[in-house]
Amino acid sequence: MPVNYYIKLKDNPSVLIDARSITPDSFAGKKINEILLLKILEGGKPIALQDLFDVEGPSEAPKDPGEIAIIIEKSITKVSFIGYRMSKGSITINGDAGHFIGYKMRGGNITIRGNARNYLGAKMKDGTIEVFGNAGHWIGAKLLGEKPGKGMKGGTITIHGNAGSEIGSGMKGGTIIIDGSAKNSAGNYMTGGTIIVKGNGGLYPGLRMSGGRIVINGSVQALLPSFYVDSIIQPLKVKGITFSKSFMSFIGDALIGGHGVLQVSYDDNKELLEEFRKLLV
Amino acid sequence: MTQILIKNGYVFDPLNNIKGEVMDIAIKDGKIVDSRNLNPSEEITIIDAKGKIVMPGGIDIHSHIAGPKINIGRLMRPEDHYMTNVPGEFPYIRAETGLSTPNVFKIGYEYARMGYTLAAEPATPPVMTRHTHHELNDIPIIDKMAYVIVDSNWILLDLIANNDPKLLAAYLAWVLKSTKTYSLKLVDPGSDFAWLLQGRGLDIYEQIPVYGFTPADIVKNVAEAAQMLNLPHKVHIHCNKLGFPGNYATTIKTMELSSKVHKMTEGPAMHITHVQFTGYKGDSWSTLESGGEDIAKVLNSNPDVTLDLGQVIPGRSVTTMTGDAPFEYVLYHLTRNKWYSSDVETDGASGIVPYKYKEKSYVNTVQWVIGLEITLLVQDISRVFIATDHPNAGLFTDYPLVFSWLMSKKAREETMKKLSQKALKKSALPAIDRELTLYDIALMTRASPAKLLGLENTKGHLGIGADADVAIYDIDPMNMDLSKDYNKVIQGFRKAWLVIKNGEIVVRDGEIINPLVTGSTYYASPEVPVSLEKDLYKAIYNKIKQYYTITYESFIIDEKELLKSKVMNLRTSLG
Repeated sequence: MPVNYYIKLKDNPSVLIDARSITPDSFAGKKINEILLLKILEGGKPIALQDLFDVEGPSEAPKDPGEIAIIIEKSITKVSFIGYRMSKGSITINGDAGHFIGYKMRGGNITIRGNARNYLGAKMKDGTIEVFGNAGHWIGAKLLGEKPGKGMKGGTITIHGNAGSEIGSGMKGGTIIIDGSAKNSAGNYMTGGTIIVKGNGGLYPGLRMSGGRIVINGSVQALLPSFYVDSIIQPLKVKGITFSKSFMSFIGDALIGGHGVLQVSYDDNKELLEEFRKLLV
Repeated sequence: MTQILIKNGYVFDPLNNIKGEVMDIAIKDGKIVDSRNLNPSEEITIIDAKGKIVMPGGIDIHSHIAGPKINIGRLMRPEDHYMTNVPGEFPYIRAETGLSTPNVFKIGYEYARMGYTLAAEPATPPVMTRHTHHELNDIPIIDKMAYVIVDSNWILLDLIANNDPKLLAAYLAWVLKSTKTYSLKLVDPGSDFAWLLQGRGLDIYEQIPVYGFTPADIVKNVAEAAQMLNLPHKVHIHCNKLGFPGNYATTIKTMELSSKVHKMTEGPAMHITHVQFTGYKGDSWSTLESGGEDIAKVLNSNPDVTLDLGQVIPGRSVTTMTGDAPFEYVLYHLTRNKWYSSDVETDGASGIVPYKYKEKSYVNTVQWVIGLEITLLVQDISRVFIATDHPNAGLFTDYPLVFSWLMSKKAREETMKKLSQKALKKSALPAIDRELTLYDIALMTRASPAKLLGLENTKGHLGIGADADVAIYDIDPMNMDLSKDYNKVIQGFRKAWLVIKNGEIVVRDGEIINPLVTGSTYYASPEVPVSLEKDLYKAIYNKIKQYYTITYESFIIDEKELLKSKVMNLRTSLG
């Protein structure tokens, strides 16, 4: 039976907060007054957790982070890095969340009942993240400038709303599922893993991808010319989800000799894919 | 002005032949003085350096710290800056960021923290030097200087083709004076011209397209011009075929050229830089071996040459940046990550490629071995300089690691455990027992660099009249075995206990306490007779108009553009 810690913002900060100490791992084995003194950064300035948050919970946390559940109340879009490198346990955010939630996380799960900002689950290795609202750009991505394959390595991210641009940029493994639509350049630089977009995709999915799989169950605005058409598939099964529509499957990105798979709904993109269909006959 | 008296420290000052004796050092008005000259009626700061070593401020003769290529490195490597940010402290300490491409403030602060007080930017293309000076102006605390690249620029090649040594020397003097730089740098001589026209590099005795002479002629002509100009640091050479297996032969051929240079002034005729990159034996990457032994042999028998290491740091992620564009082209195709290639008007070409030295890699282990082998096999270590060619082979903040490898066999053995055993089996390094002393380190990082740069009157020693640049390290040579406690040596050199620059205390306990001290930019100004200057004006005025995007007048950097400058007026043999 997990122990609950309730964290509540005292007032609304005007600058970004680096709260990477809010994780079950850093709470584990600590007394409540030690937890209150954990260091966080407010606009780059170090302060204690109690300066900005009220924390309610048992006087001593269990040694195993897997038995800790952290529940964050109120909407806190300025608070970033929650769940940094967490290995076990759970974090629930009842409201909106800031940047870099679950950055480099290694296990456990994070639930966000509002929207999340950029770099959700960036560079994560394992665990699950579920967002009931929308999420920003670079979900499960690498950081700018890093090599392809330095992004998400495992685990699952599920977004029930829409997502921004460059989701799964540089990802190497794991799964990203978007129930809504995604914006431009989904899965650029990816080397492995799976991205499923149940709604529409934007421009140029799979730019410079060398491996992995992208499935877009809606319309796309444009495809890159460096993708080769492979076949038409109906129905499409991916990660236990079955799509009954017919899909056109591409291999690319030929620009870097990649062999990633890009599968785009044929029914929703008939005009765009007409030329490719002629090649298949 | 501040008066400081340093007491009870073990002083290492090779230029004055002081080998760890306990003595007092007195400082007044930014100079070292006799302790009797301190004014007792005014305040004297007394520093008790008991159980600590006192050395002159360190001098780094080769470290890419300013200029357009550093800035482009910063732009193309945001990943180098993640998790490295240190916020500033209001009101004077500025924020620091970056590892292999640090910002200007971090460069100044980190050098000061290590007890270094002078660093030289070794490659700036003439037309871009204004940018270099703007960056040098912003580097706090340390003194600095820049070497100007003159290997493939078209005017120089034209003048060599005309075979008028005096006019060539006058041109080089004009370049030094108008770009406010200190010495001449040759990067892969002649190759950039071949690269721009034909997309290839050149070996030392291959012909340069169009002009028909060889890189060896460039080396010889520029080295002779440097003799005529009486430059303190004659010519700084990055050899041809850098980064190609089997290039140690090219390096040895270049070193042999020094005997053909007609000598007019004292001092070594040429300096071979980052010799590690040009010391490869074997005919492919898989059969690569160290050419360190052969290079050390040539250096032992040739007193006219000096060299610096370009020591590789295993496990370090670096940004290679050089004016050797053909090499960067090859390196990009090995790494396939990112590459910047640039053609700087008619001055040459350059490239930037990020790279990581892997511990288990066969090639990287051989590279690590070469630098150490050369240093430990050379008899006269005053002609070998410690440098990592920052940020090409390692960072300048890795120097303490290099010291520990040179000073302790145990440190080398501990590092060797992590490296490729296959490469080590073929090398001579595991059998070398030599361990350098603190005196040797002081010689290699203080005294001989000061001599090489011709600054031995004011820099690199603690005798009376020297500039008050002093570093005190918390290393006690009497109460610890430096060979066994090498970790303490690393920590001690990484964060100096106290550093004095221009007679002001700038670092205490490894932290910057006085960031407002600014160093000077040194530049050379060789004297050229008026009649020769007029001839030169006629010869190059129109060429500059034709070859460059800026005119003769705009080419010249004014003294006022340097925040604080020190000019070295040189008497030449041109008159």
